[in-house]
Amino acid sequence: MSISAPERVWWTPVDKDEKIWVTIALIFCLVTFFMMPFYHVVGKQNTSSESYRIDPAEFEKRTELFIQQSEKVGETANGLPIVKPRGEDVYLLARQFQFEPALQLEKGKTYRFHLSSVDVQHGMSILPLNMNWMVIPEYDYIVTITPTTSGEFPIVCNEFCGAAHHAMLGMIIVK
Amino acid sequence: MALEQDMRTCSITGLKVHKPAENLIKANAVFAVVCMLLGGVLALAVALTRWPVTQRIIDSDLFYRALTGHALDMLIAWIIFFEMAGLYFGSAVLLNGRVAAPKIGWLAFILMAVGGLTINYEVVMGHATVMFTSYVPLQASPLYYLSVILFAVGALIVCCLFFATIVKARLDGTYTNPSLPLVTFGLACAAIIAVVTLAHGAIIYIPTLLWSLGIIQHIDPMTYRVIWWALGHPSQQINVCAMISCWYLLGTLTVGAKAENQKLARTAFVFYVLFINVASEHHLLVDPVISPAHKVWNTGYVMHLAVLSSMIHALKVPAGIEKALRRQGYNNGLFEWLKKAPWGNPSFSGLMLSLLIFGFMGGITGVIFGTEQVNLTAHNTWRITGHFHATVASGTTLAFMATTYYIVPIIFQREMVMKGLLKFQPWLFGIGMILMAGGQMLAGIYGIPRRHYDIFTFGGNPLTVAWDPTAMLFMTIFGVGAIIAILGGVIFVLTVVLSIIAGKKVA
Amino acid sequence: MGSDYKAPGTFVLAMIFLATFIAFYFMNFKYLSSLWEVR
Repeated sequence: MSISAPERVWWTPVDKDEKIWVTIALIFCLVTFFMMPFYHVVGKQNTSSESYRIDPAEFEKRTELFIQQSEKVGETANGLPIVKPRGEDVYLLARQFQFEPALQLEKGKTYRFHLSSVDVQHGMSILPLNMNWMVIPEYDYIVTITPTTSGEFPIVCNEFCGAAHHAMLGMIIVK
Repeated sequence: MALEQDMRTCSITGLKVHKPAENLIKANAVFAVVCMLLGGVLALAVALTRWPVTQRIIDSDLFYRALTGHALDMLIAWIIFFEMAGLYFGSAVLLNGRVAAPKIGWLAFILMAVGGLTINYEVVMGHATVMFTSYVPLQASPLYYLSVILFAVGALIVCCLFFATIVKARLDGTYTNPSLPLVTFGLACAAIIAVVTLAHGAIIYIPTLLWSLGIIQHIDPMTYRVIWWALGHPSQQINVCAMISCWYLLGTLTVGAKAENQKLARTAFVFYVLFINVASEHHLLVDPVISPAHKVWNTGYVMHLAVLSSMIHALKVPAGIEKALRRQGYNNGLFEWLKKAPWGNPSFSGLMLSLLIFGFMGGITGVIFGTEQVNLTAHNTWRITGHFHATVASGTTLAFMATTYYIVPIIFQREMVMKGLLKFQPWLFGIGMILMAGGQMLAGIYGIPRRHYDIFTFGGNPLTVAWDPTAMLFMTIFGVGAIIAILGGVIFVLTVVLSIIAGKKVA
Repeated sequence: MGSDYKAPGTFVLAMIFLATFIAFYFMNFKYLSSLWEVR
């Protein structure tokens, strides 16, 4: 019984059924482990961790610079500038309560997204793909992204960031 | 020779019950159920807010407070108070012994009760709208952090008393077998993880408290995340260990399952202690700073050994049940034992539903979402919320509910009332949860975010999101499931409270 | 010491569990591979 003292010697040979199960389970566990480094080699969705400490004010400055240096192609319904990057670096700044700027990207082109926040932690969720990353203040998180589909991709914030967290949106347009 | 005046013999199990242990179990169990009730009321508020049919039924400020409180009352208060009761049961009662230092047990209880009540107060008053994770730089009141610390210190004391009680049982000679019973062994592993977990909790909450008081100027947000999750994930493994200990306990109590060939089961518990303690990075897979190699190692090699442990228990628990039923005569074919099993016993159906939901819905999604690359399709979406409602809100909770139906007669010495209704309780709760958590996971694939008040109008933002109608369908199913599950929870609380007050006395 | 009774039914259920696990696991990788590229 599970509630009573066990046999004096309980370190006994394992049943055949149990041996088979443990062997299969172990193989499966090893497969799921090795799948990860394997996918780093053959797969196309592997987030790096290139990141730098940065002062939020500095990140804000660099984002401003990025917006100025990019081609302004429009404005969103809520007044965000839509900018088309000229180079491969893209700055996406999260603040209470929006992601700025809105972006227009080229399908098939590779961009270095710089993600950071100037206040609290946020979560960038690109929809409807459903791709998600943390956006942490004081850290410039570089995620290299190549959009492979075109369309309009809203960004929802999915890390609670305060009273109007649910009103926080951004936009990526891919042409 | 010890006096036996403070012990009684349980008429159901034959175990000797130490009166002070019994009182400590009662206090912790009652508080557990009260906290579950609080958490359940908050669950209703949160669910109805997110359900498309009744969307935004409360305002956003109230919602975020309710959500913070719901998580704390369920994941911390209900679960941990119940586990404290379980620790006293596993040490004093199962070893036929006396609990060590009952007065200290009461001190710990008071710390936890005061901590828990203050946490609730601060959250309700809006001083701690920071979610359960309280990620820095979001800041709560100093009193909030202090009350979490008090609660944790109380729990830590009880863990120490658990070990002391086991030692006392040996010194007093009330338990002489060199090995502990399997259930006690499982709980011991839970308690070891708990000590490490709570140590991490102290390392993060004490500086955060000092920061909220202005004594420390700055807390690095990534450092906070890493250390907080070193508290946050192992705390879930405590729940897994406790749940699995309950599975073995329930197997024995419902169908007389024997714990044969304990080598594998005990090894699996030890693996939990060794490996789960380090494997918290699956919460940080889309975070900066930590290298992919480290993330893979932590979430992979280490975590997947703990997965192996779960797979071992996944076989051993039902195998023990099957063998017990075959021994009783249900030996025909592959599944006669399952068909003829005591499904009318809510502890049995609760046990089986716990196994099913935890395994198929919770465990599988946990390993998959914890895969380094896959995580980017799941992090902070409702896929995660669905996952943990399947594991702890369904699996662990059902196992604890099923165990409660035995604690009431064994410890409170009252028969459960409304046995006809009770038959349905685990099914109501279980099926409700399957629909609820399933709805969440499926909606989450479309990107429905967690901890989010308003995916419908985004607070009136001119920018908007056109959700796939299928996502809305799944959110509708979620709400239906939530209501059914809450009903199942209400029946649990109601019948347990009524039974304790007015149930027929057991000899 | 083996037990006098085996648990074949459980073994079958465990296999079903494993099959479900494997199916969901690879379905998720398929879904992941259909998304934007990330490095």
